[in-house]
Amino acid sequence: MSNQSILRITRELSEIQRGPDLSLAVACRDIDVRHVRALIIGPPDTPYEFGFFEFAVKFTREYPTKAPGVTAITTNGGRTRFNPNIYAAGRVCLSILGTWRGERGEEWSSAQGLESILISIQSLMSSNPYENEPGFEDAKSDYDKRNQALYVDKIRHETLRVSIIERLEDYLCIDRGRVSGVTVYNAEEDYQSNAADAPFEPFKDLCKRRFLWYYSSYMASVEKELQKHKDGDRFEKMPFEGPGNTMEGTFQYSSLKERLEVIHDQLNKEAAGWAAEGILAVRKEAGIASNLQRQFEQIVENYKTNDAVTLDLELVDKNPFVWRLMLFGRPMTNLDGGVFGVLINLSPRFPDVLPRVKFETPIFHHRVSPAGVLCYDASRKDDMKSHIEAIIEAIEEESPAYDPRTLVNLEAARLFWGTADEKKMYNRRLRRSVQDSMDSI
Amino acid sequence: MKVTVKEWNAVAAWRWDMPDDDVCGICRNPYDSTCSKCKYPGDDCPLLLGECNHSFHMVLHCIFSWLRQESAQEKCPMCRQPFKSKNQEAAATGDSQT
Repeated sequence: MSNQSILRITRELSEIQRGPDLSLAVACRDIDVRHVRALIIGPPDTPYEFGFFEFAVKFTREYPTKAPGVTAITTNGGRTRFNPNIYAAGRVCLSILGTWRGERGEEWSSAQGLESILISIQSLMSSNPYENEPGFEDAKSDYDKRNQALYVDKIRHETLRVSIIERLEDYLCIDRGRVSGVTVYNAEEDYQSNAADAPFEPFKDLCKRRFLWYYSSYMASVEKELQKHKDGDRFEKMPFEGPGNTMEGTFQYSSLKERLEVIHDQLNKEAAGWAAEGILAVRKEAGIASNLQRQFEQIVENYKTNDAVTLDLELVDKNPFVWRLMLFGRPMTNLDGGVFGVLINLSPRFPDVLPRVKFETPIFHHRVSPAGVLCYDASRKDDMKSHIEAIIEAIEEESPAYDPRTLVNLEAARLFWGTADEKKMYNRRLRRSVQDSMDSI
Repeated sequence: MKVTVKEWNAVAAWRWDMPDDDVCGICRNPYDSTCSKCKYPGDDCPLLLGECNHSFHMVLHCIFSWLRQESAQEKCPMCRQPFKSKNQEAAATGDSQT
């Protein structure tokens, strides 16, 4: 029998998945919509910035009359309390969940839902989480001010170390020295992840792609903190932290920096490795190979008759898993006269694993990271035409809305959304990269 | 020419007198559809309009199952004002246009 709660959960899941919010993701196994995994990306300008925080959400049959249960998973194996309200043991204290005595009107109601819960949790991840602790809301003594800064400092470190670096290291099977064993080839891991008893890891590809977007942000943050904290300095204990529910450790920014670089390197190797896997798939006449070949041919055919966009699309070495897009800047725009090569690496696991898109021609653009990674979001993930369209739109968009989660080039973004003079400077530098792109041809 | 109508069938459509894109805040289904437990929209799954102007599917499933619990304190799930039916009669029978 269909159940009221299942219908509503399914509806909510698809709404969040289709929604434009880049900082929330949800997933569940097909057989079990009551056990949902949610990923919250730490808000910009907070110590949680671009961290990956995962939660398990369990809905009962009484949902939405009763609130679901929410457990934090990103807790460093139960050792780290990331927020006064997010405990090391996973408990999330939130009045709408009924896990915290709330003011009147803050309790759960059946008009609340998954998205409002996730947004509430996200709002706990603030720029000054110290004041989240009950009794510390108005703590403004010098002692508290010092603590507030020290609290932010250690959260920033652990966000990078636990929520980003260790997560990615696990995904990529990078040995941390803790675990003995050899680095396992990725295909094996991918194979295993299809087994029924494999741990449910729905956000692997998402986190990998986001890591590439935000890599320069992570590095900038590490560089800045390196000046402030000597390696080996101990974290300060907060007055509200107790045994078994605390955030302990030492600053290790030099090692974090190296580990970020290793991850970045591995991710690039992974995408490059798809080319060889792809050739194998072509030889074995795998469905995905002919699928991509067909999509490629259809897109090429389609753009032949489309005068609005000038582009050139080809397969590198006739491999349907490596596409090269030549983008010609639209006349009368900042990109006028530019010619940009964009390399698109496709995984044999497409569309579960989405393409990695990289500008080979340097361009100064707020959507393109210093390493050339383009930040874009295709509306239909399994349709390469939608990807190509989204790529073009991301690069051509004239007056984008300010969304700090899409800013993958900090310098370009600062100028683009800066003063009038800075905006002029942005345009000048973009134009210069367009000029240079012509010369490099 | 003279036409004699021998037989005619009237076809009518109905909808709740509600904004088009609005959904019930509890089951998140459109008002014109039913709540997730009912089969037929309309009088079998009527709406209940509160004094706070928030409406929900009524019968047993959406607003009633909420109000039945103690923790609800008889408040509207949307605005948390005490939930009072605005017009019992209108909700049960009227409000639908033919």
